[in-house]
Amino acid sequence: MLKAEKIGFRIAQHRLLEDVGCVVGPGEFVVVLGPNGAGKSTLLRVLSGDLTPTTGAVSLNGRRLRNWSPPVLARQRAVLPQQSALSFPFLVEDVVRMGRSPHRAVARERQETIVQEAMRRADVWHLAGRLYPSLSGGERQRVQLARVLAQIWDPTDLGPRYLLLDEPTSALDIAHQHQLLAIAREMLSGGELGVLAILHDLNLASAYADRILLLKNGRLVAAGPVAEIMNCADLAAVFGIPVQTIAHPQLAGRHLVITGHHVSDARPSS
Amino acid sequence: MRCGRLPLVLIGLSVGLMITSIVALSVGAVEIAPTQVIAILAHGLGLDLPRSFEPEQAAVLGAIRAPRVLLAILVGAALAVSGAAMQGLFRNPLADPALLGVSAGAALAAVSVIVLGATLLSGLTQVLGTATLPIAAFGGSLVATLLVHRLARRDGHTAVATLLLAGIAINAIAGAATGVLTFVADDNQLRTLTFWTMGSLGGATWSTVAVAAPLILAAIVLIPLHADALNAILLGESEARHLGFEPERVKTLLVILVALAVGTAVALSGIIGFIGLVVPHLLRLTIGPDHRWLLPGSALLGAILLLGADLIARTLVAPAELPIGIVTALLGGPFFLWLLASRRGQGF
Repeated sequence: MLKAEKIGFRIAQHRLLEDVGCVVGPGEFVVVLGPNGAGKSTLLRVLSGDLTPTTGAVSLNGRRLRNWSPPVLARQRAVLPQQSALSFPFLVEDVVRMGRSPHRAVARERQETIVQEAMRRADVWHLAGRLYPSLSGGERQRVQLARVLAQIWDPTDLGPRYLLLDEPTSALDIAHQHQLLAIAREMLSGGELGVLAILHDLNLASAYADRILLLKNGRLVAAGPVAEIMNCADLAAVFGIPVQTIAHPQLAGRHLVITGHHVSDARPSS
Repeated sequence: MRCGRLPLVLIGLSVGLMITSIVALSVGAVEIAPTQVIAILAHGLGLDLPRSFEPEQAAVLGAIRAPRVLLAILVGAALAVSGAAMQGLFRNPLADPALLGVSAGAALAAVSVIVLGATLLSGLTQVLGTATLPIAAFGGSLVATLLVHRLARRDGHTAVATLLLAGIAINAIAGAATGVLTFVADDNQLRTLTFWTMGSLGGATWSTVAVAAPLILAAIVLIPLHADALNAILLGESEARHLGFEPERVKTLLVILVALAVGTAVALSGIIGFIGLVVPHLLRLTIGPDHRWLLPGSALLGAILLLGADLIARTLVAPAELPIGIVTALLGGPFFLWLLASRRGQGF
């Protein structure tokens, strides 16, 4: 279990996070929602160990984050960055292979199999021999996904693994947004992996999340099962925009979210 | 796949270095045929080959050419590996010890020792003896590297423009200070100073090689041990941390090793530019940017190129000698311009 308790984070006088708690269990897809400046990325960086919280503590599988040695932690959790500015002409497969660098003890053949499988899973297998800088933004994002999948591909004997996704869909077209989140959900199926993702699109969150964390101004406004959060009044309050939800016509327990004013309402009535 | 070709490239470069070394040993005022070079070297190892040579030839080779060739190999390898490592550290292919003022920092420290060694810094020279010059150069390059690094970083990123501008500023300041020292120097010191500012391998003796070898070899052997971490740092420092590396520790260590290599090289041969820029670039074009191959490859190609440049420096206007820094600048400057032109539109 990836667990953050009473996290506070301050830079100078600014409180970026205050008293935030969150739990990601194995087999669980947790989505963090909130407007810009809510502290979503800060929370993710605290959970990944990039930032040390001013107050509170993060633990992974029962052990405090700072007590994990970096290479061992790297075999247990991977982080997909928002974007990766790699300007050197690496081959796509070499970038994916970097995901295997925490696994020096694994046999070479197995490493190669994992790299190939991860590239297939992320739909970049056909790009293997291309130069990374020549790819489009969306293709790069999928290559990075293949890299982080390769990093935590195999189970370890230290418990569940975790995948942290920082606004993973921002550079992707609609089909690849769904594809990426579907891949992340597929990884959950064994029940040995948990995912936490920051998303902006309420419908994507509604379609893929198990649980939702609602952040605003560095505070946790609400947390709970997706159906509950999608129907709560807090959602509209957090985003400052009218929100309506209707039951998804095909997915039981899921909702479609309609945001904003209706066109006729948006115009001043004479 | 490129993988199968990579070891071949390193083997090819090793053979190239051997051939270049033999050519460099054979060319000069006293003629020694390449086969005689091999015979003399074999004789030194207790092996007699059926090729005759004069004792005079063996003496010239042993006392003059061999130390010079070895120094060229060491300095060339040091500058090229340092260039490759700095480009990785700064995540920028335009980093170079000379462009960023690292060499100038080392030269300023060395010049200070030459001019003020007998007066202001006499305490220092008494304590450190003959090691004063290399140690001062190391300190100067370390300070310059840290300064550039500190100035160019904003929020965990290295700003390219700031990086190069910081290099210009440090070069200007070090150059001005060196100018002041030149102004107060006496004739004897002036001759030595010219050597620093333009670079030369003419001072090579067995004792300079003995000073340079352990320091430079240590850096050349230790830097490639962090090739994997450098590859990960190219993805970004957070990404490297998420992959289990400790980028801060690696960076500190590499900055010290680079300063050691560049400082030693500058202490013994003055400022020689562009090797650190050109060599990693040429290699990336052929074997790609993977530091596991790039770093050892840079050491070999850097040695080859500097040997070649030194060959040009001492034969073009023989019996006089061109400063080698001028040769590398003449060859490297246009290459740098070509690089800028061909990278236009890619954010550089």
